[in-house]
Amino acid sequence: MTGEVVQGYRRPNGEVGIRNVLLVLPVAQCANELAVRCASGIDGAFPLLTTQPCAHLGEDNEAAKNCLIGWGRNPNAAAVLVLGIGCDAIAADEVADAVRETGKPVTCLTLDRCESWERVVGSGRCWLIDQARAVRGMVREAVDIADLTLGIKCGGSDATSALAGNPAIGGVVDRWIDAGGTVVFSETTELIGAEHLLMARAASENVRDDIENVVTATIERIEATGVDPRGTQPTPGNIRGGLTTLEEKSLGGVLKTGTRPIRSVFPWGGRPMGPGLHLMDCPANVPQLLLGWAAAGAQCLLFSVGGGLPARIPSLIGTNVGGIPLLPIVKILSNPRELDARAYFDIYAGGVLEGTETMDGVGDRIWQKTLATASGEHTWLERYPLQGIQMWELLVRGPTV
Amino acid sequence: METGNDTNRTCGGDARAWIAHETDNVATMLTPGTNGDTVRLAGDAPEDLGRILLLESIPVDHKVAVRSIAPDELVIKFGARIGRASTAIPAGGYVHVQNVRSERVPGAGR
Repeated sequence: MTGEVVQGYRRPNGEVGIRNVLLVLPVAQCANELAVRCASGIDGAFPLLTTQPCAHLGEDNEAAKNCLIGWGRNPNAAAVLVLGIGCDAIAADEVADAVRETGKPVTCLTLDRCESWERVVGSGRCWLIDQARAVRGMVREAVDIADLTLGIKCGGSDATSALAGNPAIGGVVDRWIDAGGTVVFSETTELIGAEHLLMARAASENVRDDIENVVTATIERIEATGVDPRGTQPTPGNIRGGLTTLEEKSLGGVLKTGTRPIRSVFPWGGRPMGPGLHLMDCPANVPQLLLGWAAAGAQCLLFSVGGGLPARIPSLIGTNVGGIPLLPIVKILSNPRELDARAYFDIYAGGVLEGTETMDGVGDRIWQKTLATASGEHTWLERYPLQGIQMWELLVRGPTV
Repeated sequence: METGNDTNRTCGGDARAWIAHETDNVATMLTPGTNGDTVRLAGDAPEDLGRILLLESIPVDHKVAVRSIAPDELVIKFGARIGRASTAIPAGGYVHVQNVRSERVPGAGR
């Protein structure tokens, strides 16, 4: 124990959840309707719907399967219902078996083994109702934050997020890691121009090479579409907002990673090995990032927003449902000029720039809110009455047939 | 709700800017400033830098030089290099795409 204790749910394999999600996991789009019908009206049940088709190949199917397993294994999932048709590109049984290794309750239903569509729904609902009852009996216990993984992300960035929210998060990240915890940052596309700084923080030569390789591969993928990623950054909007060079833009984002060594680079769908700071290779697209962090086993995300229109969306930019219940999100606002939007955030960091609060003071409030969130206190997004259903877009790198 | 125009700006003199790191030679305007305004520096400003006289108008969120920057000298923000000056920039001057070039985007003006 490092002394930083929160109240969490200890899973059978020793990992720690901070929420009890009854995760309903269709392995293909054709099973999405099953998932919605199974979860409908059951307390705590969440259908994680994705765009997974039959038409993806090789590495994309592999990454999607890793994600499905990763979501099931995420410690915030208390029980997992895997659903399939039976002819899916990713076998539901394989996903269920991998998730079952955690010791948490898992069941797998496929149309080909049931008499009918309605039977799948009926069986799934019965199982979930039993699980909902079991979850109600679970009690939180004292756990160490060394058992928790944080994701960090910025969006709707402007000059103020680089001056207030991001450096404050950077301080929290250092403190989290010093307490034995794990932090995952990502957004490889946003590292272009600042990769030299990150490479200098690599824990080993291999990690240094990995950072260079994922940034180079990202540049090549963008160039293959006929676009020069360096010639289009910063965008005209960024320049109007006062950002002068690509490196200035990238540096502002990298500030939230703090100062500790980077222990590894892992692919989307993967999971970091061991504590400390890690880089997940994924573009800066919010849905894919949230899926990636959830698959990586992250229990909580710190999301930094600058100002402007992105700050005025009560939910979360890039989603219409405020994220995935597997990954509670602490929203942090930096721009002092966004007075009305402050209600949509858990933390207002702009007091640093107004001279009413110190950077350490803001960092400490982010720290305390993160610990409280881990112990069960709801975030703004968990309180906000969200509407609608989201089909989560998977990361696809190869051709579709 | 305000849009780009900050109505909080103080006329006749006082603007504010933020230094992210003590080694920076630029600061970010927290309010808009006009030629002749005095800029009060906040953040990680070293003691020898108190106030800067603005030599031109600078929008909020844009950068002001807090020391004179020679042609080809590194422009430092967050304690790290964000580019090189393409011309001499006096303290109090407006630092942006017209006088800074990226080191990471060869050949581009920015």
